[in-house]
Amino acid sequence: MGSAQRRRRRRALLLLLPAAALLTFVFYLPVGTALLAGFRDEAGYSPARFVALLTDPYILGLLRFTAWQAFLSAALSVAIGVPLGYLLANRSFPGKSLAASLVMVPFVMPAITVALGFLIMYGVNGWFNEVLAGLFGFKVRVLHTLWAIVLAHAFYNGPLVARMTQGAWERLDPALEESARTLGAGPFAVFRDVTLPAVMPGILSGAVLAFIYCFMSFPIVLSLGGARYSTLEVEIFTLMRVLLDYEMAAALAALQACVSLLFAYIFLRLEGRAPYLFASARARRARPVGGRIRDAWLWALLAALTVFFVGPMASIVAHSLTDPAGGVTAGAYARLMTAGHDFHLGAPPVRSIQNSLRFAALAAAIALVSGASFVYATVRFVGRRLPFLETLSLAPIAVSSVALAYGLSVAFRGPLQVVPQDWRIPLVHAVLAFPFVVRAFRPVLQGVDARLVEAARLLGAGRWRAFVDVELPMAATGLLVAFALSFGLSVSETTATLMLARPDQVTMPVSVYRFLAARDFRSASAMAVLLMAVTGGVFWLAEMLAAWLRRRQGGTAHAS
Amino acid sequence: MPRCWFGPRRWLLCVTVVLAALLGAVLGAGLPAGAQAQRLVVYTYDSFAAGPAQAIKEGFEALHPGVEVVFLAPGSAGETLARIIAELDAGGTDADVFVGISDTQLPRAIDHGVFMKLDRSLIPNLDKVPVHLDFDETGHVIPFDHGYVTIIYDSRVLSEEELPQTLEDLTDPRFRSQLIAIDPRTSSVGHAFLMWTIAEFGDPGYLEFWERLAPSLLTVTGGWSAAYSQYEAGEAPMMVSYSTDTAAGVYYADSDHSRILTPKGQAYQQIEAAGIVAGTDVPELAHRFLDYLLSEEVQGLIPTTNWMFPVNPEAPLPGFFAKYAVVPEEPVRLDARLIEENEQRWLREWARLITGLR
Repeated sequence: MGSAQRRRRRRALLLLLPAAALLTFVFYLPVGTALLAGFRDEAGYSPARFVALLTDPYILGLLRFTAWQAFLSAALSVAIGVPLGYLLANRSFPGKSLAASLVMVPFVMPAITVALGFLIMYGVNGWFNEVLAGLFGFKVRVLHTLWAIVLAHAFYNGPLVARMTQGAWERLDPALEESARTLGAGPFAVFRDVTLPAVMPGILSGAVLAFIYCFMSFPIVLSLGGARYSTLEVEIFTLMRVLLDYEMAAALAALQACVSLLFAYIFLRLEGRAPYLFASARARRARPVGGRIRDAWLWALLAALTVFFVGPMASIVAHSLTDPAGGVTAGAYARLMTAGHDFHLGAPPVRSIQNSLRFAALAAAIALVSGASFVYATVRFVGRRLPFLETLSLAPIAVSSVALAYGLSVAFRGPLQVVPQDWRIPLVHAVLAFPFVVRAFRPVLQGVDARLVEAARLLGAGRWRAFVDVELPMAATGLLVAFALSFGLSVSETTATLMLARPDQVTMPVSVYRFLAARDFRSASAMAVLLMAVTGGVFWLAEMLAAWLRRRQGGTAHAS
Repeated sequence: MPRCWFGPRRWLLCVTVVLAALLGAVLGAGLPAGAQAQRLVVYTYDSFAAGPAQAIKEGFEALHPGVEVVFLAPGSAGETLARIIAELDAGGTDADVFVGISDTQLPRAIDHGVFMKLDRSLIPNLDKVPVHLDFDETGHVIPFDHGYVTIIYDSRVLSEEELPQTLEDLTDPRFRSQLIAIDPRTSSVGHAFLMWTIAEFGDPGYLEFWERLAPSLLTVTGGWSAAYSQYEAGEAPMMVSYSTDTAAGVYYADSDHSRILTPKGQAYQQIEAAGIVAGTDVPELAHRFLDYLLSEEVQGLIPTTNWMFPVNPEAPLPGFFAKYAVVPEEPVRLDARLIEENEQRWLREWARLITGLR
C-alpha cells in the first residue's frame, strides 16, 4: 500500500520535472528578477511604486479599458469560435480539412499584416464597404473604433476557442445526447443540459487564453483602433523602450500580470465547477451539411465564417500580387528569392523560413513534452483540480512581452550563459507555448475515463502500454491542437526573438517588418503570404495525422 | 482477436519517425560560425539594415581585407538602444558600433554609458560635415544623416488653395478626421511631431493645441507603416511623415501625388548619429568604420536607401531626389537635454489627453 503510493508520488514528480525545470530557469527566475526591480529602492524592498500605480487614476483607467476590450474580444471569440467548433466536430462539408488547418493561420500572422488585411477588407474603400455601397448605397466605419480591435482579436482568437471546443465536442459520447432525446428532452434542453456542460471546459480553456492574449495586446490595438484606445501594454512599452525607466516598467508589468492572472484564476475556478462527462472511445460521426432547408442556416454560417477568416488573408495575397500602379505581378515573390534584399550574411530573405521552422519545431517539441507530462501528472496522479498551480502555469503569457524579453536577455548574458545560442530562442518560445499546451491538452485528457486505463491495466497492460493504447489516441485531438498552437506561437513571436537573436537568426515575421521598414510593402505582403502558406502547410500535415489517428481508433472501437 | 504485435504501435512509429526527421533537419541546419580575423559588430535599426547596410558591409570589407562586418537590427532605433543597454546591464554587449541613435535619445544613452568618447582625429571626413549638423558637444557620436518630419498630403484630394498654412490651420473644422498622426510613445516620427508642437506652442500651450487638433485626427497609429498604408488606401488625405516621401513615391511607384507641407517654412529636424560602444575590443577599426560612414561613397547611398539627407555635402544627390525631397527653410529642433528632462511628463500628458483618461 505504502510503497504503491510512494511509487505514484515518484512518478508524478518525475513527470512534473521537465515543466518545473523549464519554467523555473527560463521564466520564473529571470523574469521574476526583472519584475522584482519594480519593488527595489535605495532602502531595500518596498511596494511604494506599486501603491503609486494603484492610486493613479490614469493607470486605473487604462486598466479598466484594457480589461473591458479583452473581455469583449474574448466574448466575440467565443461567439465565433463555438459555432466553428461545432461545425468542425460534428459536421462534414467540402474542404473541411483545408478549412481546419486554414483557420489556425490567423494565429501566426504578424500584427501589422492583420492590420493591413483589415484595412483592405474593412477600410472606407475596402472590399466590405464597396459591397455595402454597391448593394445598399452606404458605408460603415469599422476602422478606428473599438469594434475594429475586437474584430481583429476575434480573428486571432476565435480559431483558438474553436479548436479547444472541437477537442471537447469530438469526445462527447453521442449516446448521452441520444438517450436524453429518448427520455423526452427537446433539442434545446439536450444542448443546455448535456452538450454545453460537456464542451464547457473546452470553451472556457479557449476563453481564458483569448482573454489573457487580448489583455496583453498592443500593436493591433494601436494600428486598428488608434492611440485613443491605448492599453496598459503601451504604457509598459513606453517606460521600458522609450523612457528606459526599468523600475517603473517592472512595477507596472507586475501589476498587469497580477490582474490578468486574477482573471485567469476566476476562469479556472469556473472551469473546475463544470462536471466532466467522460468521453466515448467511439469516434463521433460527422454528419454532412446537406441540401435540406434546415441546413440552410449552416451554409449561411459557413459562408459568413469564410468571409470573416478568408477575407483578410485573401486581401494580403491580393496585395502581394499587385504592383503600385494597380497591375498584377509576381515581382514581390521574385525579390524574396534574391540576395539583393540581403538581411543576413548574404542569404536571400527565404532563408528566414528555415530559421522559423527550426525554432518552431524545437519549441513545439519542448513545449509538448513538458506541457503534456505536466497535465498528465496533475490529472492522473493528483486527481483534484489545482486552480492555483494551473494559474501559475499560465504566467508566461500573462507577463508583458517587453518585460519578459528584457529579463531573458539579461539572464542569457548572465546565469543562463551556458545555454547554447541555438537553443535560446526555442526554449523561450517553448516557455511561451507552455500555457497553450496545458490548456489544449488538459480538458481532453480529463475527458478520458481513468477507469479505461484501470481496465487496460487489469487486462495486463503496463502503465506505458495503457497510456499509448488507450489515452493517447483518445487525446490525440488535444495534442494536435497543442502542437499547432505552440508551433504557431513560435513562428509568430517577435519581441523576445528580436531581443535574443544573432544576426543570422532572422525569422519570417522579422523579415516582414524589415521589408516594411525598407518601404517595400509588396514584398512584406509576399513574405507574410509565404509565412501563412508554410505554417498552414504544417498545420495541414498535423491535421492529416490526427484524422488518420481518429479513423484508426474508430476502426479499433468497431472491431472490439 | 488476433493482432500483429506492432499493430497498435504502428502509428506511434510513424509519429516518432516524423519527429526524428524534424529534429534531424533542425539540428543539422545549425550554422557554423565564420572564423574571421577581425569582426566588427554593428547594431542598427531595421530600415537601415534593410537599406544601405549590405553595400556598406561589402564596401568596408573590400577596403579592409580580413575584416568581417556583421549588422544586427533588433527593431527601431529605440528598441536597438534598449537591447544594447540591457546587454550592458547584464555585463557586456557584442556591439562595437551603434548606427542610428537619434539626437533626442542621445542624452539617455550617454547616461547609461553606452558610448565611449571619440578620437575625432581618426575621423577625417568629419571635417566636411557642416557645424550645425555636428550637434553632439560631448564628443560621443557623429551625425551621419538628417531628415525632416512634417505633414504630407494627397494632391489628388486636397487642392493647393485648401491646404493648411500653419499647424494651427490643421485644427480648422474643414479638416475634421483628415489627418493620420503617429503615437510619440511607439514611433520616432510621432515623437518628432509632438516635439515640433511643443517647440511651436510651448509648454503647456502644446496640450491646448492637441486638444484643438483632436477632432482633425482620424487616428493615431502605433507606427509609420500602419499609418502610411491607411493614408495610401485613402482613409485620410494627410499624415505625419517625412519630407522625402514624394521622392520615395516617385522612386518606387512613379507617382508624385504625395506632396510635402512645410507650414511657415518649417519642419522638425531629426539628426541620426553613430557612435562606438563602450568596451569594444576594436576601437581603432570602429573609428575607421565611422569615417567610412561619412565617405562620399556611403553618403551617396543614404538618399535612396535610407530616405534621409546625407551630412557630407560632397555626396552626389540623385536628380529626382534633389527635385522632390524638401529641406525646410527653417528646421525646428528642441534641445535634447530639455527633452530628456521633460519627456516622461510630456508623453504622459499627451497620452492622458488622447485617451481622455485624466
